[in-house]
Amino acid sequence: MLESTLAALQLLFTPGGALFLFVGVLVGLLFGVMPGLGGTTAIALLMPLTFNMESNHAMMLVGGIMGAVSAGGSIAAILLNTPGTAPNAATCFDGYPLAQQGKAGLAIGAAATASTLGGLIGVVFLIAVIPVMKAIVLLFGPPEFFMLALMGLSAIALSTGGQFLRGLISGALGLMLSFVGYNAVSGGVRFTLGSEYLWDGISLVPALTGLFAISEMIHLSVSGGTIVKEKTTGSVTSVFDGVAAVFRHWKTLLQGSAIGTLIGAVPGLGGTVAAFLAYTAAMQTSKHPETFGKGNIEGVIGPESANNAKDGGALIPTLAFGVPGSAEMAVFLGVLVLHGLDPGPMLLIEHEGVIFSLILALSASCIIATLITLLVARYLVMITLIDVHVLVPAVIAVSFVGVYALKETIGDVVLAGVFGLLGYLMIRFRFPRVTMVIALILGEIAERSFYQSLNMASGDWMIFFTRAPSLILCLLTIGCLVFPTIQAVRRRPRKPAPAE
Amino acid sequence: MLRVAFATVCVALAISAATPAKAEFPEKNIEFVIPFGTGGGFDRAVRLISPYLEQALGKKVEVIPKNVPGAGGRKGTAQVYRAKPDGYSIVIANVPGIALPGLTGEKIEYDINKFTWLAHVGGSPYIAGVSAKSSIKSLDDLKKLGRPVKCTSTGFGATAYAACQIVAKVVGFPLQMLGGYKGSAAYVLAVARGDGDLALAPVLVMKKFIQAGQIRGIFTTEKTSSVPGVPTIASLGHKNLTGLGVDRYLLGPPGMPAAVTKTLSDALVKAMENPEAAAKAVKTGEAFEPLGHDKAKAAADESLALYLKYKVEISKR
Repeated sequence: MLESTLAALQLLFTPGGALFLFVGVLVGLLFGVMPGLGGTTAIALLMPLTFNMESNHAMMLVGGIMGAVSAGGSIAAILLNTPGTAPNAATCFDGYPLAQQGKAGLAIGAAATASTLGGLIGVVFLIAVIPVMKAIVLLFGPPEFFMLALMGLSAIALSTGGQFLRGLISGALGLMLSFVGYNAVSGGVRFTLGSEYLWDGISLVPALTGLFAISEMIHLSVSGGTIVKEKTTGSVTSVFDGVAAVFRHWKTLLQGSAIGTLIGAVPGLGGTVAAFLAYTAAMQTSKHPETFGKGNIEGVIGPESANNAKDGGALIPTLAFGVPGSAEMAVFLGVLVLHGLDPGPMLLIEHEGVIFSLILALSASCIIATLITLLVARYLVMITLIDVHVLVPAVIAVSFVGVYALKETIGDVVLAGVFGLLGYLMIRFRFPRVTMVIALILGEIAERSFYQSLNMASGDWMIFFTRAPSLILCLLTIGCLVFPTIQAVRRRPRKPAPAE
Repeated sequence: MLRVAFATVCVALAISAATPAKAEFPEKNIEFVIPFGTGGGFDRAVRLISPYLEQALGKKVEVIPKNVPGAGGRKGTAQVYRAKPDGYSIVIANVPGIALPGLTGEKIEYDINKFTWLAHVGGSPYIAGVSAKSSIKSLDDLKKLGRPVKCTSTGFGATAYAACQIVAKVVGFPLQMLGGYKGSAAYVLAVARGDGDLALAPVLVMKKFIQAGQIRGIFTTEKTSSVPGVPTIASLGHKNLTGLGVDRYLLGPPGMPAAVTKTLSDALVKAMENPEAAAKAVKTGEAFEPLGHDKAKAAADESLALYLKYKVEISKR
């Protein structure tokens, strides 16, 4: 193991290795910043190029991309409320309000640092569990998936931002939207209004781009001015304040990284779910859940750390069984096969060197991407000072092009437009968007795993409580719902009502 | 000045419109549709064949792979079915997958008999596996289980779903399907985890889990077993199930001109027979078994016969 690590390190310092890694990082950052495009697209596009490359160099390139994408995506999420990749959507909720308050530097600093540390924690976790990774992957079945989804959905109660009924209405709408399309369990299509496009349901990337980017641009062009209302500039110190904030909120960082690694290790959930669960967990464990959605730095640190930690986690099922843990990993499997490396249990035994090249590239990429982000952050922040009449057309055009480029389907562009309008109406009539997005993302998993669990148990509901991991997750969910209430009740008598 | 420019454009347009009419196929880029996402076996096969197809066509045009995923492959397939039958849109499809929705009585956007069948790419038989920890050790144990055998798959309409129903009927055991898994590796993992009892998956996928010691192979539908210790289904007395699996074919829209069909089909076979391409395919574990347009449809009909026979079983939800 040590030998392979040293060999991989050596490769990193050869001109070829370093070059491919650096190219990977730049491509990753670029594809991350562009809404719609993400790591999956980048790797898929570069796949033919790796045909004639050495396997180790291909790993440097792919690792570079995977490690850098989320850092790029967070920049767009914070500055423009435009999630660069789907997993960055959770960063919008608190990152963008911070940018509006003129604290974009702080948010970018925190996001970049949380990304790196999260990524490194994910890798450390991966190396630590290599001996027992099969057992970990086998621990989570449909009943556990359902409980995880339920846990995320329960956070809707906390995310309503004071608009309880409106929050529940948007949550219900999100759930309903998540059921559109082909029903994987029993076959047949539902709620597609006769449109072939909707067979695959509401595609996440165009929907999120519409809900966040397009709706915000409509809102901005109506209100005019610039994103930052009061005149402030992103200084170097504010960026480093962001770095410091991550260390101050180390619990949120560790929690986010742990969630990211775990969700990454479980096939079939993916980065977006990881980021949203980390966001809701950060909110549930925070001392100030009421400030979430209004620019709480913990709301940036949680999802961003999860977002990068999931790459290390996603390698676990890929290496243990050849089952991709995330969308990027699915494409990465294709790259491995093209290089004659059979993904699965034999990979780590037969090609240890190649895997360590990837792990090392992943770690190095997290660091390089963050350094680049931190260096350019103060210039990037100036975007928030651009007049909206210039900014809005540019962002809308780039968003639509990105959404179209993803699958070259005009339906995706229409969907982004429709969700843009819906999102604007939600802003206008004060319906929280976060509850809708949580439900939209988790609804499909909740429904599918619920069906599967009942099928497994031949209709016996007790399956959710007789399996230890499922029961623990269930108790945690109840705890998350009840704990804030108990706390609120206990606090009340201590603070006498101010005499007025 | 403007008039001159306009005239030039007109002349240029006239020339470009007139020249290709005399040229032979192909005169523009070919779109090679993969009706699934990136990274899977279909995607791999198309991306592997494409550069060699360009070569076989004399490097006159580019072959552009395009992923059109959706609705279990039906979206991309239907798109090519409706395309102009000029040879510039082709699609990779699997048999029986492409025929299943029609067989199970769903409303379907295409008639598989009307497609222009260009070539056969290769096939993959199944291995049936149970968890290594399971008490089931053989095909007979499945019959003696005393309760329905829980079989995992991606869901109704999927090829493994239909194959499980056929195996259950032929071998004679009650069956309960567990659906909703994303891909073959995921539903085999589900059996290793204990969600269900049995999974039928392509040899390539199942081999890994057997090597990892998570899955015990019960039988294979291969002619000769490629995994030690796993008996062939023929040796267990069910010869008619040999060959049950998934085969990949390349199709064009209905009504392609005979000359174009021949040129394209010959080039596809030539591309797959290219030693370099063939070697790469062997490396991925799925060797090419090229058949031209004259033999492809017949081969597909042969493997579909079994599904037609058990039409009632595979339509069970």
